[in-house]
Amino acid sequence: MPELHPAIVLLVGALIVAVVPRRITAPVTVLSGLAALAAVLSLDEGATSTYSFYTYELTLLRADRLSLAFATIFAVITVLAALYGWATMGRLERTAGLATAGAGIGVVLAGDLMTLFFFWELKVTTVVLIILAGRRARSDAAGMRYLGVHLVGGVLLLAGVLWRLVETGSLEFGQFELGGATGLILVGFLLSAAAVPLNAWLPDAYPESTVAGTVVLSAFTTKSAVYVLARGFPGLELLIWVGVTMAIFGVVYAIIEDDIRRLLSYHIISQVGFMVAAIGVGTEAAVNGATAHATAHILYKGLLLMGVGAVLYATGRSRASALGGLSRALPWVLVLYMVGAFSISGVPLFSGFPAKELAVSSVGGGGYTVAQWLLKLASVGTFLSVALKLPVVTWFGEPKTRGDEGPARVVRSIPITMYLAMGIAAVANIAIGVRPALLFDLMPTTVTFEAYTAAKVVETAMLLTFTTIGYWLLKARLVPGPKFSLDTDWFYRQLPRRIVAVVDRGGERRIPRPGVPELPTMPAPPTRPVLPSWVLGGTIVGAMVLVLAVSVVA
Amino acid sequence: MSPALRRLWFDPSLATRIGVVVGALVIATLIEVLAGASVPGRMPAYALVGTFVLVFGAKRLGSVIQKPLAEIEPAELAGATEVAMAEGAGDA
Repeated sequence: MPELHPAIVLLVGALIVAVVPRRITAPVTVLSGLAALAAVLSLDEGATSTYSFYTYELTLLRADRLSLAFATIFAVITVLAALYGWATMGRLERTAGLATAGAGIGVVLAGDLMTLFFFWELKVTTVVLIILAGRRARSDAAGMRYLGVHLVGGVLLLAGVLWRLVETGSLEFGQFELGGATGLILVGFLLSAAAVPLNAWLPDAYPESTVAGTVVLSAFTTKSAVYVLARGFPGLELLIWVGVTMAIFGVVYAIIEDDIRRLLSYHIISQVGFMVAAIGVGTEAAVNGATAHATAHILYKGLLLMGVGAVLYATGRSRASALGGLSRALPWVLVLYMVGAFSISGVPLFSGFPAKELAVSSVGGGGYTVAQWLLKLASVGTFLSVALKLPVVTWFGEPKTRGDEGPARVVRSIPITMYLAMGIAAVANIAIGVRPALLFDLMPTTVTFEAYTAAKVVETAMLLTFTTIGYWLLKARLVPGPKFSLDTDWFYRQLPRRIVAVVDRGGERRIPRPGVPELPTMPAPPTRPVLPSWVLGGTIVGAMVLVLAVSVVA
Repeated sequence: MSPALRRLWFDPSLATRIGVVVGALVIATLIEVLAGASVPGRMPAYALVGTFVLVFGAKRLGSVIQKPLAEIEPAELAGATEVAMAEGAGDA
């Protein structure tokens, strides 16, 4: 019997959501996610599905333990995000969200580079639509920047794939040796993983989407990249140091960040750094560690973003410098957020503990002791900013004012479906923390690692306790102000403007010569895009579908 | 929170800070000895020093790379953008 591809289920679901009456789009979205989850769980290990494309035999579906682990958690977070956005998502978000999930699952189940590239680019396009769903000038701008950056990554990836095809005659997606063609593929993957200095698109784009859209974004882009790195480049030593740099970079930026969703976006970079470092070690235990950490991360980061999204939904604010004092108004959001915060910090009995221990121990076990200690330093920064700084400035202290709006307060109640999604995510995080086998049984190879030993629990307890003491001593320095941190995106956001400004000033400084008429002044450019964002996005999706259809017919 | 605890958390004296840190380090080292840690006291000291390094390093970096919000996005201060986004796209 032919296998039912979960990505196809989600893409069909996206098409259905695009046309059905508005009132049933929410249940159809959740049902599509559940159907995809059922399709993933029904896949047998070793299942494949191939198709012919011109003279090539391509593999649409390759189910092994690595791909199934990622596909399973992708399907789970699709259901949770759909539930979370039940009352808030519009049709565009639901359609684009399901398509993004489908593309993400398509990536992890792809058995060859051409199929991978198709789903990869489909994901980029649909993610742009999710960002544009924020429907603000800032979202439009961030979406276009995201598209520009990822088109560059896509071109590099395609160039690498074609180069490799010419070199070897093969489109197989397996473990690569680093060379010219695979080097281009690697850069394309690292850009999508938000590796420093190719990272700025992530904190630029994610906070600009809607509250539910950000949950979808956090799950698929960087984790798809983690999967392809684990598949293509395990054991590439360079990745260890790329990962360690990401882990430290992310927490340093998070410590000074004011916007709570941007803060968590920087933590995605940091946590993905742990995974990339483990992939760089490349042993079976390390790839298990990266996969376990990615799986747990999707769950707890989803929960964290749901929590701060609920704060934003209820108060209309996302800057810590304009929040505070919400513990009485939003106590359950605080409790659920803290489950995510304890998980990401690796507190025992929460999902991050076994996952992070496995990943970090494997780095040390591979002989990279310095990298292991630097990852522990990143863990200190994670606990400091996600579990201490963020909740304290958001839920405690005096409510802060912003402009003429007065102190932070709840202006509307949070839908029950938001609480339900957060509750399920919290239970899953605790369940994995209490019983790590739930996570370890999904891993690519058998896990013999014992997370709960006295030494590991005591070491973690010491790390967390003394970070808390450090926070107590330095807490006054950790109160964020209304500031914006420049990142490497400065080079493509500000530098061109500066150059234009310098050139412009040069023009203004021209000394008028007698008898030479002055040139007329250029009119100011329009401040809004010429086309509405959905027209542009729809055109891109339409063009991709058309190209695919023509290719298949040809 | 009781006044004593409140004072301890929000306004500790220098002697209190030193006492808490030294006391905690001693207790932590003893626990690590009992747990059979290879180098007792290493992780507590590393976490504490690491916190200082990260916070001061980040603040130092922030003094270079952070700009007042008004310079980047004046509308952000007015609050209109966040509220609009929080309301979501709906089915507009």
